[in-house]
Amino acid sequence: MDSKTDKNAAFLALAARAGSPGSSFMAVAHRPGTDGTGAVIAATHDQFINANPGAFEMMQMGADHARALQQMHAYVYAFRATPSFTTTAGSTSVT
Amino acid sequence: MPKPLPYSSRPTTGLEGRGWQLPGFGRVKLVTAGASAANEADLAWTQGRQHEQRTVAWRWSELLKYRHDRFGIVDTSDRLLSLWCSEPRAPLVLPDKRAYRLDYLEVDPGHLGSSLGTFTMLTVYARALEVGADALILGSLPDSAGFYEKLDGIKGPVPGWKTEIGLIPFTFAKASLLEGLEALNGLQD
Repeated sequence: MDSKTDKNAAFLALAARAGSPGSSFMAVAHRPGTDGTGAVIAATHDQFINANPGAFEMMQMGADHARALQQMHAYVYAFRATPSFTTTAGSTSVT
Repeated sequence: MPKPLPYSSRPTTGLEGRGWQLPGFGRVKLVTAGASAANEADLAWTQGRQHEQRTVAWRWSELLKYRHDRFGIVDTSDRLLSLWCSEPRAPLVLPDKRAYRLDYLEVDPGHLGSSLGTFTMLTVYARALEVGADALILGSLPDSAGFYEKLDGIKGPVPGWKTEIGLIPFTFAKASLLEGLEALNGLQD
């Protein structure tokens, strides 16, 4: 075994041991100390908002920030769980 | 204070431009990823993703905009093979360690099953060590947890840091990072 092959061996052994991740997405993280709501919204908001523009406007207008976040959280999870989930402006009532 | 312009924060790293001979891929290098790389990934990778992941708005053009560390692995044709990013400019000071936090990582879905995921992780290790961290932390998607365990990631809560619900926290100790760095250096041109 020449020295280059020998050096490659460390990587090949590591790669063989690790195998392949189960998906192309491998890691997600967010700021420490948050409850994760922001990260969930950040990860999904584009598609969610595209499908639910009225709901987003309602969130922006919400005076009660905590309640707005709670609602958005519920919307996002509903949307993730059911990709076809949609709402119509003015008729959303997830709490 | 005005919001900074997208992609205005740029990392300084000795890793950029270095070449490695990655088995199965030939010469690859690490580049700082900007808007064009993000758009390339969003366009080229979406259809290759697993079905359940296509409904998640994981858009690199949004994820990379304001992140300080944002890197891509490219081949000799400058074709994008993987992307990863981290927001902090310096390691997070946790109660028992200074940790580099990996925020998002994706490999080209067309190369799942290759050693590309491992290689990309080794570049993350190298960056973590470069900025003076003594550990790497990340939140793993459930499907990838086994992969990280086999890379000697330690699964479990990280004191002082909280992952998003549904993700699995991992810590990679400095010894693992150094082992990975050695393997990475073995591939260097």
